[in-house]
Parts: sequence; C-alpha cells; structure tokens
Amino acid sequence: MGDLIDISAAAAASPPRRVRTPRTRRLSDRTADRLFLGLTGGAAYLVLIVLVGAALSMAWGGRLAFKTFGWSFFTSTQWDAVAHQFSALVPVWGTIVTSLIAIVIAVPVSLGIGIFLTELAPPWLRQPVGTAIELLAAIPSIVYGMWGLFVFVPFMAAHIQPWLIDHLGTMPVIGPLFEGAPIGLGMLTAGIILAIMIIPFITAVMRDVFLATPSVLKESAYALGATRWEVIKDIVLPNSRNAVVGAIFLGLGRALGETMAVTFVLGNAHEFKWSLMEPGNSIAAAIANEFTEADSDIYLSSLIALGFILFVLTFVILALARLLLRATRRAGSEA
Amino acid sequence: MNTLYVRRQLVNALVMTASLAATAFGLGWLLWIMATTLIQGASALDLKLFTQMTPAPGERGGLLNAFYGSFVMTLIALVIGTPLGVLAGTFLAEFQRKTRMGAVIRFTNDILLSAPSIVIGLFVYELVVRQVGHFSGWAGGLALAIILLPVVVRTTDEMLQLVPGGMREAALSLGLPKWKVSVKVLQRAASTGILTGVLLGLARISGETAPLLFTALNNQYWSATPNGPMANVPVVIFQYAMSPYDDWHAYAWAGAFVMAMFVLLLAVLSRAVLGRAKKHRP
Amino acid sequence: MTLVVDNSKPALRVRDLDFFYGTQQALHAVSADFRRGEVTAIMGPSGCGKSTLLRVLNRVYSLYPGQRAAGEVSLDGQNILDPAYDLNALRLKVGMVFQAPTPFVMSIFDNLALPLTHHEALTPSELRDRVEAALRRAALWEEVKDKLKHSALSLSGGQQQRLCIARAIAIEPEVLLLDEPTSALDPIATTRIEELIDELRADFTVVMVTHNLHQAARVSQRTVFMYRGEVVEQGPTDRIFTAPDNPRTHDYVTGRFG
Repeated sequence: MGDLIDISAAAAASPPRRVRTPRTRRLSDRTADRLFLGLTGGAAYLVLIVLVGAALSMAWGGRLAFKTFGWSFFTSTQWDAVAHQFSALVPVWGTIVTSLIAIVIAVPVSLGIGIFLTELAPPWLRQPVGTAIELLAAIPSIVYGMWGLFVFVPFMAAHIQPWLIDHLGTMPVIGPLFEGAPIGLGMLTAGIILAIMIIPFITAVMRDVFLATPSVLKESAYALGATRWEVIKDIVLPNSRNAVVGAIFLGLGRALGETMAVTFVLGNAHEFKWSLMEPGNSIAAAIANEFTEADSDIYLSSLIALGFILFVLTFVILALARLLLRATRRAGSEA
Repeated sequence: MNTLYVRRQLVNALVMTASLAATAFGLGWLLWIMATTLIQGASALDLKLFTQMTPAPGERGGLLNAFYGSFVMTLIALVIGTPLGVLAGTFLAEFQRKTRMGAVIRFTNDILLSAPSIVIGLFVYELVVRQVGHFSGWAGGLALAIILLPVVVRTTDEMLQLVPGGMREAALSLGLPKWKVSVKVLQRAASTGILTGVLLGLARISGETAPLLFTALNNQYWSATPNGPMANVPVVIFQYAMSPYDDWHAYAWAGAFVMAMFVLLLAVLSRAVLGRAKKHRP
Repeated sequence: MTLVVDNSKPALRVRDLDFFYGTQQALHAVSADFRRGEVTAIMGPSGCGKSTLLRVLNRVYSLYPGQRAAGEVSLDGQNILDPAYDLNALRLKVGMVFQAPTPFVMSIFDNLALPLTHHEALTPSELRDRVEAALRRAALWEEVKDKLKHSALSLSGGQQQRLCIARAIAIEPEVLLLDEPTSALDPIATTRIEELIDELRADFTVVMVTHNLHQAARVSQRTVFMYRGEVVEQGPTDRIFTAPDNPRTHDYVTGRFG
C-alpha cells in the first residue's frame, strides 16, 4: 500500500485550491428557503380552507331555510315553489335509495371483475380489460345522462320495467317498490346508471387488494387443495375486509353526489313514492334542475341547504371510506 | 368425499363463470354507451360545429362559442390549479411526510378529490357569483380549478415521494438550498408523473357540468372575455338535451361526442405518459 | 508553488460522537481523525454504524426528523454539529457520493452546472471549463465529451457513479465522503472508480465506507474499524491488516466474522 512519502509528494504537486467567486444574490439561500416553505405551505393549507369554506358557505347560504322550516325541513315532503314551502325528505330519500341500488348492483359486479382481472384472465388480457373498465370512470357524467335519457330510459320502459311490474309488482312486501306505469324514468333507472359509473372505482380497489394479498397465504391454501373461489372467499376477502368496505363506501360517496347522470333520468318529481318506477328526485338533481329558476330567497336558500345536507352526507361516507382504506394501506405496507 | 369435491369444483366453476359474466356486463355498458355516442354524434357532426354559434331552436349553427368558453375556463382552471397543486403537493412530500398535519391535509385533499362537484359549484356561487352579483367565466374557471386542485396535489405528493431518497440527499449534499433541490432536481425527476396528474385532472374538468351550472351559466352568444356569463360545452349539452327540440338534441349529441372523444383521448394519453414515467424512473 | 500538507493535523476531527435514530443509539462515543491527502476507509460488519458516521460528517441525516447527533465534529476548527452552523456552507466543504448512483434527471452538463452556478459567479466559458475540468478529474471526459447535452440517465451505472463524483468535486469541497461507492457496480467499473479514488486523495480528504475488506486494503491509507456503533481500532491500513491490536479486528480482517 502507498507509503507516506508518496502521499505528500502527490499532495504537494496538486494545484492550489481555486479561489471561489461566490454568487451574490438578492435573497440569501436561507431566506429563499423560508419563502419556499411559506409558499408551499400556504398552498397546502388552501386545501383545508377550501373544504371548510365550502361547508361554511353552504351552511350560511342555507341558514334562511333551516331557520324558517326548522326540523320540518327534514321531515316534511312538501316542495311547493308557489307557496314557498320546501323540505328535504324527498330528495334525501331519492339520493339514498338510488345510491343503495347502485351499491347493490355494483359491488357483486366489481367483485366479479376483480376476480376476473386477477385470477381468471390470461395475462395479456388483463391490461386492456382493466383499462377499458377504468374508462367507464372517464366518460363524462353528462354523457351518461344523455345516453340514459335517450337510450336507456326507453329500453327500461320497453323491456325491463313491464316484466318487473308484472312479476315483482304483485308480490307481497316488495310489491309496492315495483308498482306503476313503465315510463322508464325513476330511481331504478338512475340507480343502474350510477352502478355503472361507480363500478370502476370499486373494481380498482378490489383488484389492488387481491393483488396485495400475500402470495404465501394464497399458495399455501392452493397447496391444501383449495379452489380459486375458496381462496378468495376464505383468504383474500377476510384478509382485506377493511379495504373492500372502504371501496364500497368510496363508491357510495361518489353515487350520493353524482349529479348530471341522475338529473336526466330521475324525472324531477317532488311527490313521495315508494315505487322505484315512479319519477323521483335527488339532492343533486333538484339543485341542478331548479337552481337557476329559484326566484325567491327562500327557494334559493332551500336548495343551498340541500347542498349542505349533501355535503355532510358525502363527507361522513367519504371520511369513513378513507379511514378504512388508509388503515389497510398502512397494514399492507408494514407486511 | 367425492361428492363434496365435485360440489366444490362446481361452485368454483359457477363463481368463475359469474366473474366472466360480470366483466362482460361491465364492458357491455362501455360498448353500448360509446357506440351510441359515436353513432349519434358522428351523424350530427359537421364542420359548422366549430365555426358557428349556438343556434336558436329550428335554426342552423354550431357550438363555437361553447367550445371557446370551455377552452377559456379550462385554461383559467389550469393556470390557477396546477401551480397551487404542485406547491401543495411539494409541501406534503418534502416537509410533511410523516407528520400529523400532513395526514390531516392529505385526508382533507382526498375528501375534496371525491366531493360532489355540484357542491363545489354552490361554494363558488356563494363565494364569487353572489358577491360580484353576476355569473361569469371567471367563476366557472375557479370552480374547475378547485376540482383540479386535489388531483394535482395528490399526484405531485405521490410522485415526489417515489423519487429515490438518494437523489434528494445527493442534491442537498451539494450545498443546494432546499427550494432549489425541490424545484430543479426533484420536481424535474417527477415531472412526467406530475404531468400525468395534470392530464387526469384536465380530463376530469373537461366533462364537468354541475359546477358550471351556477357559476358560468351559459350564453347563447359569443363572449370574448370571461367577465360575464359564458357558454360552455357541458351546459349547452345539458340545455339542448333537456329541450324538446330534435335538432337541439342533434347538437347535444355532437357536443357529447367531441367531449367524450377528447376526455377518452386524455385518459389514454395520461396512461401512456404514466407508463413511460414508470419505465424511465432512475 | 508548493502546497505544504501537514499530515499530522486532521482535516476532520470527531470526538465523543453519539448518534440516535429516535431513541435507538447507533453510535457510542465515536472518536476518529480524517487526514488530508489520505483515503480513510471505515469498515465493519453491516449495522456497525459506519454509514451512520459518514452521514454525520455532512449532516445529511438532519433531513430526517428524529435523527440526532451529540458530540463534536470539527472542521477548520469549528464544530459542524453546532445548530448555528450553516448547512449549505458545510455541504459546500464536505461533498458526498452515495451507494447507488444518483444522477439528476437532466443533461450530463446540467448535472454539474446546477451546483456550480449556484455557488459561484461564472461566465459561460468559465462554466464550460469547470465542467470539463471536473469531468476530466473524474476520468469521464473522454467518454462524454460529445454528448454533454444527453440525459445523464443514458449513461451506464459506472459512468453515472463517476458523474456523481465529478459533480461532487466540481464545487471544490475539502472533504469527499464516499458511501460504498462501488457496491452497485460491476468489477470493471469498480476498478475504474478505485483508481479514481486513489488519484483524488491528492486534492481531497477522502472518507470511504466499505464493507469490502479487499477494497479497504487496496484503496485506503488509514482504516477505522467499527463494531456495534463503536470504533474498535484505527490506524494505518497496513498495520490494521497485518498486525491489529484488537483481537476482534484480527478476526474481522482474517474473515472469521463479518
């Protein structure tokens, strides 16, 4: 190895250290960094401010309605622009019912697509099919609405609803849900369209959690002779229960607030009906349809109050969804 | 034992068939909706669509003012939403990685990301339209910016966190100040990913209708500036489709066709860009 | 002009250094000297704290909340652990090269120009000269002189690592920290980097972490042997490898554990 004489000789031969001409700046690095922290932080806190601001502005805009009608705003079914009487029950009911229909349809379908994409499809098919399903989420909701009104509503009226009215409408207990004339519009149609719209969101999470299940678990189950479905049912789903529930809540949150697609096909009716075949309403549809027509302060305030209710409803659902999804993500990353 | 085995295999085959059916079901809707839009839209499509103003019922015209209005408002949204989103995402990724405040802001951002867009419209109505006293393209652009913001925040945060920690350490080890490390080194390394976020956000706001209903409203005529009510494709589609006139329906389909193609193109493009970003990550 | 190098006086002096990851202590009362004109190798089994020690020397650890150091690390007579010590000024004096190459996503030229133009006022032609000089010293110039505008990511792993060395020495630091600089490279690239390190010691105080015994023996003049967060033995590399004082050092250099 090199001895000491060599080293000092090399060092002595080296050129003298360059004299630096430091750059002069109007802002020192330290000040610039502090400014950068303030600037980025300000932008980040803006996200908080927007969300809180949205809630406050709607509470403020709806205060007239809440004050005027009190609790009856939530319990009455009256919606009469001429008599200045408004209440939230019918649109809230319609919002919840259409969203539940959407969930009932979308969850099993998404589960099926998730299984197909992770277990069944040959590898070359997974990417294109997965992308195609994701594209369902990219289609603008107004296109769903138009298609719903001009194509799907007549289809429902001609093919689906008559059958339902004839066969389910006469049954005890659930019969009232399927009574009426087959006009195509209504909560069932809206719910089905919402289901299509939220399928990609739920499918995405299902696919991710299926892929995230430790393969050791799956392989040992297969080694014991379990079938694919048994592995999914007994290993994958229990292992990722929180994420699946979170995905369902996420889809529910989307469905609750969806506006244009349901506005076209609900029928904008304010009478309370049990039947899913009758024209109905939802919070978002009522606001979209009537906001620019609202000709009195109390009318406008009632619509904004509806918006506030929708905000609270979706906030709770989405918050639950995020908490459930985050918990699993953390568990997954630790595993 | 043997019958149990057969039954288990049968159940499995049944579920697998059902999953195949579910996939066909999902893809079926996509095909149905796309085919309808394509057929209806293509038949209503002609060059006048891009050169003439929105017509009154029974007259001929195009959607020029609506396209222009949508373009202007989308531009406003991009100009406001992109820098704010990148800054906020940088704050989260560089300064609040594992902090409680970071968790709170991320949580809020995720909520905002999935919040109903109509609620954002109402917010901007209260914030701007009611204060100023009239509808305007500015208000519409602002509403779209608020919808774009969380998308950009989230992708910027995620993409910056994916940049290898060694690059951050190496840049700081050169005596560079943090802002320069963030802007010149890290954001540059994550730029393709951040671009994907902007494209995804752009796709989302291009089809948004609900928040424009009571911010930009609509305008049958040409408006060069966003100072007043402004025509835009989604709201024109909404009004024309809800009308009883067949020729308006045709314009609505044409608008929907152009919009859907644009949005799907963006969706595909952003995926391609993302794929490239992942491949080229150092 | 001759530059007198006083080898007896260390460029970097570490005294009683403790280091903590949160509540876990990773370094215990570490003391070591790093001298000018020499390559000092820090070696030891994985988890012994050798990388941690290196990361204290330019305080890159302070990027992470929860990591803290106590004790004294003096550079030019000042304690760099003093909270008032300007981090950017410290890192201008103490450069660092990492285990995996860390080229920035920009052109080869810009990789060097970014730190150079930040720290110094240079005319375009001065900048070009400095970039060329640094690339030459890193033995990379001949390979990249025709593609300075190409992306740094287009280089091979070994070239990328030499680019990172060029980038670190372009701003003329006093100390160069190398954290296992060849562990991600193939044998041929490793040889080139080792030759380069040997040339660099003329101009810089080089501190290199390695888990490779042979590399320490080949490249360094002094060796610090660490075990479980403590310095077991330090001295001239020749002596450490042939006649260590401590039995544990003996076991390690003869391959009994590690």
